[in-house]
Amino acid sequence: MDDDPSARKLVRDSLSLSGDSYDIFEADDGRSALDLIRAVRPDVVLLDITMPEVGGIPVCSEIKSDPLLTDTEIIIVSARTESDFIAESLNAGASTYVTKPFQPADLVRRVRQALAKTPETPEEAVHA
Amino acid sequence: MRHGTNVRGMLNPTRAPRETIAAGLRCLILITVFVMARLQPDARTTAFDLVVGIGAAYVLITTFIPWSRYDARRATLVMLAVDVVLITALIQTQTGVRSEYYLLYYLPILHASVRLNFRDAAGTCVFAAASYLLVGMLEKPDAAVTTTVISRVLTFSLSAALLAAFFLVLSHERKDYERLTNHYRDAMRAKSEFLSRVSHEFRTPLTAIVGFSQLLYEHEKDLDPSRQHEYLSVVREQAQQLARMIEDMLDITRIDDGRLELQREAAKLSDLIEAAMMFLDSPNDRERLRVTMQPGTPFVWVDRSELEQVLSRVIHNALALAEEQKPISLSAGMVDEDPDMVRVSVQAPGMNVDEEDLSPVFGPSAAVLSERPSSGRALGLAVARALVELHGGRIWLDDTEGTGAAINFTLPKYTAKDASPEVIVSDENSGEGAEAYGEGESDDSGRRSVRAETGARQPEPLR
Repeated sequence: MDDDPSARKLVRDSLSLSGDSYDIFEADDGRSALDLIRAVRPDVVLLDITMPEVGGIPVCSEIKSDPLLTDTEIIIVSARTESDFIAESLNAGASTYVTKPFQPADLVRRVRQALAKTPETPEEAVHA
Repeated sequence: MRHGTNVRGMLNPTRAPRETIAAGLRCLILITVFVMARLQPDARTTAFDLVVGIGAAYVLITTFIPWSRYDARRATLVMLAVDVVLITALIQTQTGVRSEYYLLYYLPILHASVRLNFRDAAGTCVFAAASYLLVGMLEKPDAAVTTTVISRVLTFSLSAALLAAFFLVLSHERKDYERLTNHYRDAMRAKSEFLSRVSHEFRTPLTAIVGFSQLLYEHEKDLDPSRQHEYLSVVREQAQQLARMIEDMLDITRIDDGRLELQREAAKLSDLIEAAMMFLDSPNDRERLRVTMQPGTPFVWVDRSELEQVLSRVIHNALALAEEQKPISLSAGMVDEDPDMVRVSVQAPGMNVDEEDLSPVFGPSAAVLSERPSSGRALGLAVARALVELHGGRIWLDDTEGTGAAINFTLPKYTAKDASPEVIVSDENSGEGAEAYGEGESDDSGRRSVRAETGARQPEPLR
């Protein structure tokens, strides 16, 4: 989930060019991201924090409070570097925090690590 | 019951510190009186001097302690205490009060001039002089000595006034210094917040630049030429965006520091708009802009290059905020309610005011730069607002429900009184109609160097 189309494209292409096989879904705001996540039930969700209306942290909390999404790993990808934001994200249930700008290879590595934590790993990630 | 409260207060000083202190002082006074009554006359005088000395030192020290609480009532209380001390000394000694005791009257004056304002200090001076006179007359009530007393009172009044004036000036300086220090601290905090937000904004274009260039570098062989071109386009666009943001930040700093001086001249709006359009990135953006000039729109009295910056930023933002690829319209004309101003309005269909964090830019306060905008886009509009206000105009947002929104701003009209011998604008198209300035005003000086618009021109579509 990111409101910036170029950031969504960058994440999508970073993952697809990595050689792994992912099913990737995109959302540009918090509400549609939640609908999409509940419909798809992805293994990994990548969230931006600063969004109009519903931001990444409330989405993160919603995912963690949904019993059907307990195995979903959350990676925050944000330009905010303040320790408050990082702490708040991790407290809300995110497993990793990636700051923008990032190296595509580093993002892929974080996604692979997150997928390794999920019980079944059918190589599926969602950039909601 | 009251006694019970005091006891509780003494037992728990944090709950009632004032009551505790008051009870302690009462005990101290009682003990002092008790001890003094049992002393020999000589020792009694020494003890009295000691108590008065401690009291005076207490008042003196607390006067200069910044966190101690002082008000006019306390100054009066200190003066009354001095009266009591002097009269007590008078009754006790029968031979007159030692002259050093009269120095105690400087205490309330010092106190009022250091801690209070001019009115309180002056009032305390007058009351202290009156008390001084009264005690002096009580001391030696024969006519011959009264003249001496009056002369002493006059000397006292003069020295007291000088003392009060000296400390009033000092405390005024100190307050000014504190105010400046606070102002400086606030400004530094605002600047740090601004830099922190701006650095966050810089990360958005940087993410695309770093990410896509890295993908290009790592996967050059896997990417077909069209994808490579697409990535390069994104890198180019985002680099331009980053350059614009750096420019905006430097402009804001320049305006903030008061380093920007406007070089005003009479300028034709349509020329400025055309110049501003050169800043647009693509021919498609230029195609999307529809310009309409109201007939007889006068010249504006502006800094040409700064106004081009305003126009380019407003147009750029309207293009970015409008619904995908829809044309935006720019119109200019006179302001009905203010004949000295020219209004420019940029209408963007589908522009959602809530969509971006524009509220700080168009908020009610004029201090746009202290309301540091939080988005990169708002940064550009903040520069536009600051520049418009520097010109004496104002900028605001009209939200037309359902159809979009318009960014409006006003600029001062050029009038003949603005002209100075140094300000001469060359008329490269003098054949267009040089008989008047804008709406047909004639120049009192008879100069014809400023290019004029014809008064009865039809709406002027630029494209």
